[in-house]
Amino acid sequence: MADNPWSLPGDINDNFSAFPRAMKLAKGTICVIDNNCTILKHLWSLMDIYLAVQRKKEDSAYKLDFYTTLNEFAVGLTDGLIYNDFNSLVKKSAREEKFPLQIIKEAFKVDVKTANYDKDEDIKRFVMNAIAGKLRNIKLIEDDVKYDDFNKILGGIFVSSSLDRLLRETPNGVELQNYLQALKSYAPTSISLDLSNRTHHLISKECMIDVFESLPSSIQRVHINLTKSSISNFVKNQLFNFLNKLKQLNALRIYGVDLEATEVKKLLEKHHKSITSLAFVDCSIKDNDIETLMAEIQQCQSLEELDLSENPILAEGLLQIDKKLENFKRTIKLRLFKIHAVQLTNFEAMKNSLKKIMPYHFSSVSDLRYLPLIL
Amino acid sequence: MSSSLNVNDYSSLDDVAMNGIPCLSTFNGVGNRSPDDRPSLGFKIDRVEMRGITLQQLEDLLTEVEDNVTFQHIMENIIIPRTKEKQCSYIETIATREQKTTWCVVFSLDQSFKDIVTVLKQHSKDRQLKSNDYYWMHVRVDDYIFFSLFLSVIPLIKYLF
Repeated sequence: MADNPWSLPGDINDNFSAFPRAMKLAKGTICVIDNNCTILKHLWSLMDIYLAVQRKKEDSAYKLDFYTTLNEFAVGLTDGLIYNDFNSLVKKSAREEKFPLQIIKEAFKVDVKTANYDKDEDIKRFVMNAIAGKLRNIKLIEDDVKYDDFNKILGGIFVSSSLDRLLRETPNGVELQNYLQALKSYAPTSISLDLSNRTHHLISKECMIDVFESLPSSIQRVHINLTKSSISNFVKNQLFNFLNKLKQLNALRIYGVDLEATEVKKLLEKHHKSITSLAFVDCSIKDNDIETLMAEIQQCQSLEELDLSENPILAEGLLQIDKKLENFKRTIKLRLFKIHAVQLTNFEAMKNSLKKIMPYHFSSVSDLRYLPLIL
Repeated sequence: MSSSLNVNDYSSLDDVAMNGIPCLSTFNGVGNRSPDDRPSLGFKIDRVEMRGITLQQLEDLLTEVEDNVTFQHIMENIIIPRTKEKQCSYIETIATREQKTTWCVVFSLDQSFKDIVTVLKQHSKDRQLKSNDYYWMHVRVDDYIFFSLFLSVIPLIKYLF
C-alpha cells in the first residue's frame, strides 16, 4: 500500500530501507499472526520483526505487539500495558489469556535459519547476514550465534506474556529451561505469574525455584498470585531473592503469600524512589505489621497506589494506616477491600475517628464487607 | 541487549530516514510535484514513510470486497488497477495530505484482509489511536517478486485477449 507497485525497487537494499524509515517515525510495530503463523515462517517477515527488536533497543518506548484473530474478534500480546489495563498487570494477563497457546508455542519454535525464503538465495543472504551483523555482499553466513540470540529474543517475547500458562502445562525440564533462557535473552520489563488456581498443584516447588532464580533483573513490574497455591510458602525465599535482585522496581503486586513486615521493609528500602504501585493482597498482614510497613511505605516518594485488601487488619491497624496517611504530602489511591476491620461491631463508631480514610458508597450494613477507599 | 545489526554496513535508521529512495519517491520518474500540481484524486507523497493508512480507509476498502478475500486479492483486484494510471502507490490515490506513519504493520499477502482489519481495529482501540493515526503497510521483497511476475504477464494477457 505504501509502496508504488509500478516502480519496484531495483535493489533489495531499497526495499529494506523503507521499513526502517517508517519505523523511525512510528511508535511501534504490530505483527498480524494468522492460525498458521505465516509471518513467523517467512524470512522477510522475521527481518521486519528483527528490525523492530533492534529499534526497541535504540528506543525503549518503541512497542512491538503481536495480534491474532479469534473468530470475529482480535486479541493481542501487547508490549507493556494498554489503556484498558488501567495500569494493572492483572488485567493485562486476563486479556492476554485469550491469545491462543498454540500460536505461542509455534512462535517459540521459530528458527530464522530454517525460515522460508522462497528459494531466493539473495534474500536469504541479505537477511541472514544482516541479522548476523555482517556485510550483505559477502558469502552467506550459514550459522552465527546471533541467529540463536534472535530466536531466543522472539521466543522470550511470547514467553514473557504467557509464562504462567506455559508453567500450568507442566513443561519438562528441557522445555522449562528453554523458556527461561528465552526470557533471559528478551529481558522483559514486566512479569505476571498467576498460579492461584488449585488445579495448578502440579507445578513443583523445584520448578518454581528455577523460575524465580532465572527471572531477569530487568523486570520493573511484578505481579505474583499464589493464592490457595500449595507452593506459596515454599517459594517465598526465592520470590524475595528475585525481588531483591531487581535493578528498579516500579510496581509490585503480591497475592496469597504470607509476608512479614521485615521482609517487605528490606525490599522497599532499595526501591523507595521508583515504586509507584504496591499491593499486598491476602498476605496475612496483621495490625502489628502495620507500623513497620507504613513507616517504610511513607518513604516511597513516588507511590501512587496502595492495596492492602484481604488482610486481617483490625480496627487498630486501620487507625494506624489512617494516622500514617496524614504524613503523605500527596494523594494516593488506597484500596482496603475485605479487611477484617469492617466486621467489627463497633465499626460505625470507629470510622468517625478516621481522618484521612473516608469510606464512601455503602448504603446498607451488608456493603460493609467491602470498604472501597480512595484518597 | 546488545545491537547485532551493524548499521554502517547497510544504512542506519537516521541515514535512511534522511536520504530518500529515488525509485519510490516520484510518480514513475516524472519528478516531484507541488501540492497544487497534485492529481484531482489523491495526493502525491514523495516520502514512502509518509504513506500510512487510517483504519477508516482500510474499513472503506473492506466494504468493497467479500469477507474471505486475502490481501493478495486486494493487490490484484484493487491496488494494481487503481494505481495503474498514475503509476503511484495506493495511498497516493486516496490521501489528501501526507499520512505520517504511527504504527508499522507486519503481515503477509496470503492473510485474510478482513482478519488484518479486525486486528488493526482492536489494536487501534487498545492503543487509543485517533483518526489521524496511520498504519504503514508495505509489500516485502519476496512479495515483490510475485508481483513482478504478475505485472510481467499483464501485457501477455492483453495480447491474448
